[in-house]
Amino acid sequence: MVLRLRMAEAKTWKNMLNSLSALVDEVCITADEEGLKVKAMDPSHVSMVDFEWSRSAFDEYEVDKPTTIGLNIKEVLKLLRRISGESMELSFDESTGRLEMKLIGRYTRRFTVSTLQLTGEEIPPLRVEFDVSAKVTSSCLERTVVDAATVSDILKFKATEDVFVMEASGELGEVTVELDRTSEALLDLQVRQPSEASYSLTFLEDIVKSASDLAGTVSVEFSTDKPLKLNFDVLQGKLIYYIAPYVE
Amino acid sequence: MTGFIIQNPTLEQCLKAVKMGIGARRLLIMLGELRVDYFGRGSSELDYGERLLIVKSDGSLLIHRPTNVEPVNWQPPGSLYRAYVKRGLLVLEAYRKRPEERVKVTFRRVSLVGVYHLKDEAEFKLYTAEEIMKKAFIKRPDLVEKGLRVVLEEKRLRAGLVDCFCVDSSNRPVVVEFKKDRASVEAVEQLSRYVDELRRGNPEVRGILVAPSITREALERARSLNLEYRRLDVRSCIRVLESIGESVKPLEYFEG
Repeated sequence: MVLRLRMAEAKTWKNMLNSLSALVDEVCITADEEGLKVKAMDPSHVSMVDFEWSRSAFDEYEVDKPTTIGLNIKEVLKLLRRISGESMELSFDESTGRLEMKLIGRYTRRFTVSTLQLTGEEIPPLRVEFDVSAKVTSSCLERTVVDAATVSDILKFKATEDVFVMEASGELGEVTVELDRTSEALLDLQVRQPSEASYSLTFLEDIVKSASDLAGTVSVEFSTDKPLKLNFDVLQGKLIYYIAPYVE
Repeated sequence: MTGFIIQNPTLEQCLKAVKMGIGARRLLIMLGELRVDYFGRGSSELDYGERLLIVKSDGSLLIHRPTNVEPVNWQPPGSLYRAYVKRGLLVLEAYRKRPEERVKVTFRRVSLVGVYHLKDEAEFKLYTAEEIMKKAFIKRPDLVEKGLRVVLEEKRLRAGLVDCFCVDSSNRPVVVEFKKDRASVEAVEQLSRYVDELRRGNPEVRGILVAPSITREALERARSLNLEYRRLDVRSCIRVLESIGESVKPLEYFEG
């Protein structure tokens, strides 16, 4: 079998692994003729990621049969800590189970890591109707989440016809971010019915911090007491997270 | 909890409180500007600074500066004390006979003195990673499988102590065993011994090994023994115990 990918910026690979590390330590990446795909749920079943990276995002993409690669993300990210402006070639040798990451810059570095035999979990799709869909800039969401995490463990999302509000409160104080249709950070707001729901900031913080590097805007979708969907607008692919709601 | 606290005490009040606290084997706390001289296995001196002094009911002495975990000076339980006023300053001396040691604390100012009788009979329990996994599982058995119910939080068998004994949604007994690291063949063999013992009475008994990951050999071995594996790591369990608790409705409730 052949699996060989080339990308202009090694940093993209690093960002992609980062966006998964928010949820899982180990991950199964599937490569097929369409591109790379990952579907993973964190073991506590509070968050889920649905990731696809189309083949057109790569300078070269050669995969002759669907292949699954199990990776320990933390270990791989340790090796990628020192990348800068290099391009990258990925190749997988199925017989030895080793993945090679070749970094090409002013000189060439070759990292080879063992892959893991992981049992891919079957992750059924979620069936949720979202009453609110708000498109915001990733930086606005990231800043809100980090601010909120300083006062609370929970972030509440609320929407009425014209206003989208994120708020958190704790012993230290309160954080409120209110976006109306005139706010530059709010690009679109659709509300079928006024809704509010709360989500764990522990998960939001990890997710938003790592995914903001991959996309400038994100669609925030939710309904009262239903999961949250964060759809980051990545070029040539998709990056969607779901987070389970707090229910009083 | 009984006791008292005096803010900005006079010298007399302070001396009285210190003598009373140490004499009655209470907890004594003092905040003030103090210097410390130590003579014994070596000697040290620490000039005046604002510090916290504690004498515990067993006679332990701790002097803390505003930062760091460790005290800057200390004496073990069983130290003897003497408190007196010299040249208008309060002095507290802690003395230990063997090895001969003496800590002399001189107060230039005392902002707070407190004497309390504390009752504390609770047992201190430190949890291992596997115990954390088990606690999270008992709180949320669906971490391992939907519909699982915990029957016994441990079960003694001839082959050893089972982590958790459960029944599944179709009432079949399930033995659940936790491992904090990647599960090896040994872990599978251990679970297999428990399950074998129970399968003699009921061939329906299931065994689930719960670990963050599993080696290929272990997974093959488990399959051949008709045992199951579920992925769960300590990080998620801590998240469950700390912040998520029971108020989060997990994603499987929304599956299509």
